[in-house]
Amino acid sequence: MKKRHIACHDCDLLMLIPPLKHRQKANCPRCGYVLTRFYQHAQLKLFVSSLVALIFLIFSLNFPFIIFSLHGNEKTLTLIESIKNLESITYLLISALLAFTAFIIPFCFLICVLYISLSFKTKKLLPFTNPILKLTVLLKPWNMAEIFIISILVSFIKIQSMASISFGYALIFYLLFILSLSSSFIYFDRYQLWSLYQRKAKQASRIK
Amino acid sequence: MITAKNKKLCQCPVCMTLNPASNSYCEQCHAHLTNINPKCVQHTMSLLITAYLLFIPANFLPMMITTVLGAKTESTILGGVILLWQHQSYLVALIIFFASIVIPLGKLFALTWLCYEAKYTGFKSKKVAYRSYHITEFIGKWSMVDIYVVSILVALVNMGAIVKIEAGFAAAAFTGFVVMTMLAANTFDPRLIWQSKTIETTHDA
Repeated sequence: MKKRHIACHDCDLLMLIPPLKHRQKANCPRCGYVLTRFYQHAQLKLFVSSLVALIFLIFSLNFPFIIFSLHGNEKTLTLIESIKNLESITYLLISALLAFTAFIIPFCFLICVLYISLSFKTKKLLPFTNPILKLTVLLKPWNMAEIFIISILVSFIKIQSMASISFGYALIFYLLFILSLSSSFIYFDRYQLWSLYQRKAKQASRIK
Repeated sequence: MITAKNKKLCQCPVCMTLNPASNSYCEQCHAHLTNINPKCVQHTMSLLITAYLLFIPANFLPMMITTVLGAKTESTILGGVILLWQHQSYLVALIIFFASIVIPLGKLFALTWLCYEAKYTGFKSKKVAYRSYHITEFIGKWSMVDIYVVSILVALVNMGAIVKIEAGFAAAAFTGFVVMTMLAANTFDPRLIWQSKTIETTHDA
């Protein structure tokens, strides 16, 4: 890998990143900001874990995730219903935020990652790789799926005394989705991805 | 220490490409470039003030309105924590307490302190300042737990006359509050913390 000057994102120090070995990471010497992590076959791992996460996310949407029963009345709730059920305008902000941060943003993130991985695999870059890669970097901090799972558990304990509750399959799928999503976060490294993009773009211009 | 600014360069925050400092858009990904500018503190401060204002209704208005057989009980965030503590679910009470009271307040104070130091006094200890910024940024989204819980409960416990849970206005206010603090943490430029140190070292040399 060719050396390239970069500045630390958090303290603006200029430095060279030496070639890294498997599982090594590059820290900023002044502020300790993690500049990049290197894994062997990171692109393949990123692709696989995002694909798995996407499949689990789609599976988890339609199955009931919580079954609530009280005095003989039973109610099952799927994840999509938990967003739709909020009727009035006051809740609109909350449900929109919930929908975006727990489902739509992770979904878009995974789709974009898959597109980018495919684009890097093909001989020529697919169209719109640049804006999509930019979008992925910008979307990443707004992912809150892992908080959603904690809040499911908290709400389970909160109404435990009120009624009897059991979990459905969707919870397991969602848990698996979060595990694979976080593993794809590990392999998502913007420095590596952008340098790959640069190399690809240079190759393409040379062929022309 | 050589920084990008000394070399008249500016790094793109999205794709980590070094651009000439005169550019206002990145050459590679066309993201907006911002030079290190102490004026960005004002931007952060305005978001912080919005967050402070939203924090008041979020804590004093009811978060959750529970109706059991026609009897209404309203509970605020702190009320919910106390109720959970009385029901002996200490762990959950602690999680909610930290996620929706301690962490948001800590975040607000930390960011205010950073803005104050950046604007008036200069940073006494860069390491402490940077670490507190880093923690603030990292921990930010965990305040969302309480809002998620409310929205799950509203969707789940809706059995007409028997039991019903509704969200109060505090939930909307708290949502706005969390988003504001996250944006404030994003707009604060950590390079400001380290910038003053560079000037000192060049003077020494």
